Amino acid sequence: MNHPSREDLYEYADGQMPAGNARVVAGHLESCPRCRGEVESVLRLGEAVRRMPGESPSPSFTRDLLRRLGISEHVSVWWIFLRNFAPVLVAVVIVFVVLTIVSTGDPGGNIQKGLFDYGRVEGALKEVTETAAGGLAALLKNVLGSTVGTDSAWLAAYLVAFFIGIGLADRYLFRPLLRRRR
Amino acid sequence: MRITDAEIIERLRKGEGRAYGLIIDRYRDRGFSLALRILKNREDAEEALQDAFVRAYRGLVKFEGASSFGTWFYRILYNACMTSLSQRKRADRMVVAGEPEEITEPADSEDPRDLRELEVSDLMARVGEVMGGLPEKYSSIISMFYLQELSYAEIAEVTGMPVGTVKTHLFRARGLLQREVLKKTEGRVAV
Repeated sequence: MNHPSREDLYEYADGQMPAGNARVVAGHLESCPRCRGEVESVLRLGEAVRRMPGESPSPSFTRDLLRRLGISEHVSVWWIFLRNFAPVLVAVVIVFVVLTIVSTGDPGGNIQKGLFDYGRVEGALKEVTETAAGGLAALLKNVLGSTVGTDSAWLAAYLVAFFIGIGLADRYLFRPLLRRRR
Repeated sequence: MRITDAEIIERLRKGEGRAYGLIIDRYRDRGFSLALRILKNREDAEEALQDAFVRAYRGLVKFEGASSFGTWFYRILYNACMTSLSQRKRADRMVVAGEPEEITEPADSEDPRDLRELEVSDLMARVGEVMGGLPEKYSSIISMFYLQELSYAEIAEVTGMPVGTVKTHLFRARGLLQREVLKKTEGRVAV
C-alpha cells in the first residue's frame, strides 16, 4: 500500500490541500489506521496549541497607544448632549419661529418691525402652509377614509417639518462639526 | 452584526479616528501572542506591537486591500519583531538558542501516535512549556497558523517566505514540538 508522506498528511489535516488531492488522501485514510493515527495526532497537537491560555499586553496598552496616536478615547458629556439633542433643538426653534410668524403676524412687536416686512412674509408663509396643510388633509382623508380636520393636518405638517429639520441639521451641520473635532 | 475591517477602515478614511480603537481591540491580543512568540520578552513584544499599530494607522492611506487587513497588519508586526530581534542580537543582550538538530523521521519508539494517549489538558500544559523554548522561526510559524489562523499563503505573505518554505518550517516545528512534548512525558513517567 502506498502511504501519503507525513507532509501530505499534515497538509490534509491543516485543510490546506487542494480538493482533488484531499479526496485521494481521504480515501486512503478510510482504510489505513496508521495514517489516520498520524492525522489524529497532528490534529490533537493543533487543538492543544489553540487552547493554550491567551496572552494579553499590559492593561494600559490601549490607552498609551491612543495617546501616542493623538486619538481621544473620551468625548465630553456636553459634546454628547449637543450631538444628540441639538438637531432636535434646532428643529424646535425653526418650527417655533414659523409658527410664531404665521400665527401672530408680529412676533417681536415694534422691535422686529424694522427688519423686514412681516406682513408679506406672513402672507406668503400662511399661503404655503395652508396649501400644504390642505393638501395633507386631503391626502389623509383619502388614506384614512375619514375627514381630517385642518388643525390635525397642520399638526402633521409641523411634525413632518420637525423631523426633516432634525435630519438636515444632523446631516449637514453636526456630523461635519463632529468629524472636524475628531 | 459584527462590523468588518473594511467598514472600519472606511470610517477611518472619513475622519473617524476613534474607530481605530475597534482595530486595536480586535488585533491586540493575537498580535501580542505572535510578538511574544517571536521576541520571548513581554516588554519588547509590547513595544513591537505598539510600533506596528502606529505604522498601520499611518499607513492606512497606502493600504489598497489586495490582501486582508489582518494579513497586512501581521506583516507589519512581523517586520517590527524582526527589527527588534536583530537589534537585540546586535546588542548581544540575548543568548541565541542553538538551531535544533535536524528533524529526522521518528523511529518506531517515537511513534507520534503516543500524543493521542495524552489527555488534551496534559498535552496543553506540555505544549505551553515547550513552545517558549522553540526557536522563533518555528514558534512564530506555529503561532501564525494555529493562533492567528493564517493560511499557508497568508503566512508566506507575512513572512516573505515561499509557501514551500512555510510548509517545511511548519512541518519541522510540529515535529520538534511533538518530540519535546514526548520527552517531557517520558521524563515525568521516569520520575
